[in-house]
Amino acid sequence: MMKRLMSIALALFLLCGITLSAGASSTAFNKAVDDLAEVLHPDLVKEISDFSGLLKQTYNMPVYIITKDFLGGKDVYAFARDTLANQAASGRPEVLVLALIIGEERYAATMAESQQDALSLDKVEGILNDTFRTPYLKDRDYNRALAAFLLELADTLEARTGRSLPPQNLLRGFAGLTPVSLPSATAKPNPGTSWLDSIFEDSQRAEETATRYEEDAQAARENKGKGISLFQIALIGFILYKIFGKKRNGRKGCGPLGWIFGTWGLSRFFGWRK
Amino acid sequence: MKGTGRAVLAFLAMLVMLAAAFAIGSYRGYLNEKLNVEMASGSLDEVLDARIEMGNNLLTVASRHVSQDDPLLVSIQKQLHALKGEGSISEKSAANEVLGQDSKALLTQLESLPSVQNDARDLRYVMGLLPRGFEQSEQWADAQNYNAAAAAFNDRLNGTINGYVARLLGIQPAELFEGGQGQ
Repeated sequence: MMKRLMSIALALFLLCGITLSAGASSTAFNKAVDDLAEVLHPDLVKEISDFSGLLKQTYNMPVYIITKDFLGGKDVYAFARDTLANQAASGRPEVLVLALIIGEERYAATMAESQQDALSLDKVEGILNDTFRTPYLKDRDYNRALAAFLLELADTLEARTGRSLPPQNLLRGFAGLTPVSLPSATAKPNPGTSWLDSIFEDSQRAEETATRYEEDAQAARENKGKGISLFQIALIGFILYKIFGKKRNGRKGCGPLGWIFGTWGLSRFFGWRK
Repeated sequence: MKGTGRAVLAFLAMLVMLAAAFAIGSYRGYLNEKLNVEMASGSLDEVLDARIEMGNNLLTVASRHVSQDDPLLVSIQKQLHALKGEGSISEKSAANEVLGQDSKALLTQLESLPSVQNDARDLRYVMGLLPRGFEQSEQWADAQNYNAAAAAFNDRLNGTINGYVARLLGIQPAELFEGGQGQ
């Protein structure tokens, strides 16, 4: 009875674990903002997450915004395309990716070709120019620039599709269009990320490469003393002599030394012994 | 007599075959070891990408505050070019060492500039993220592991009869990566 109860409890526990982890991973994939450079107001991050859900429901175009300090020399458009590919692999092929590389002052947007019927990349570039590459970034007001970009994006989609969104007062407040008093708060670190993510193009790959290098160097350093010993070679040779080296049909065979030397020679040839 | 002649021939043949087996075994053994050392060298080469990234990041920030013909800027560009190229381990090692020294000097220079002092973002980069990033990339590209493997291989190659035979048959000592100090 006890055993049965324990089994049921264990099964339930495992089921909960699987459900929670699936929920967590799906939440991670549905994230609208990865503020690795820590430049965005936490309330804006939350607002964008809700806004992205509305964009998906109304126009099937959610957004994914990633901020980093540097790309280490990589082209920002190539980075945006790689990010889009990662989002597609995570089950979000329809997302509009906006990459903001703060330290390099470079910004890029991209989306899948299937989305470009509703909104061309040229139009998105235009919105980016109007918001990011001009007024607000003189003061490095990334919150204002991003809010303005998203509002203009929504206005453009509304004009093209005829479907409108509910008023976005907090976004308008961040964009400076509505006098809304915003709580003062600094950007929070992204949970589950490290400062390395904002400064290296792919810090995870860099760490994996470093680990692999350490392992390869360790393996190369320990590459000695392997193989069978001289005693083992002599023993193998003697055993072979005993099995195959006896006189047969009156003919003489090799003596034990011959078999031992022969085994040693083979061990050298095949590298059984260093 | 006939039997004695055959025995002598057989004995000589055995010696020749043993010598050949010894030589081939030495060559193959040390070739495999050399390949393992080269695999570690290849991994180190990949890890150097992190140094290149940090160099590019520093150049991005520095370009906003110093002129393009600043000697440190020019030198760092040259070292990055060497690290990205197909040069030997020695060349990359030298470039890595100079990169470490020059990046440290450039960061010190940037810290003292009024234009950086007046820019909160770039000041944060110059005093925080960039030095930490360089330090981290240096830890990843710690050449000591590779050098220990290469030095051990060279000791065996130069210090044993097997190694002497392998060298005669064309196995070269491994190059050491000397550098990565300073930043």
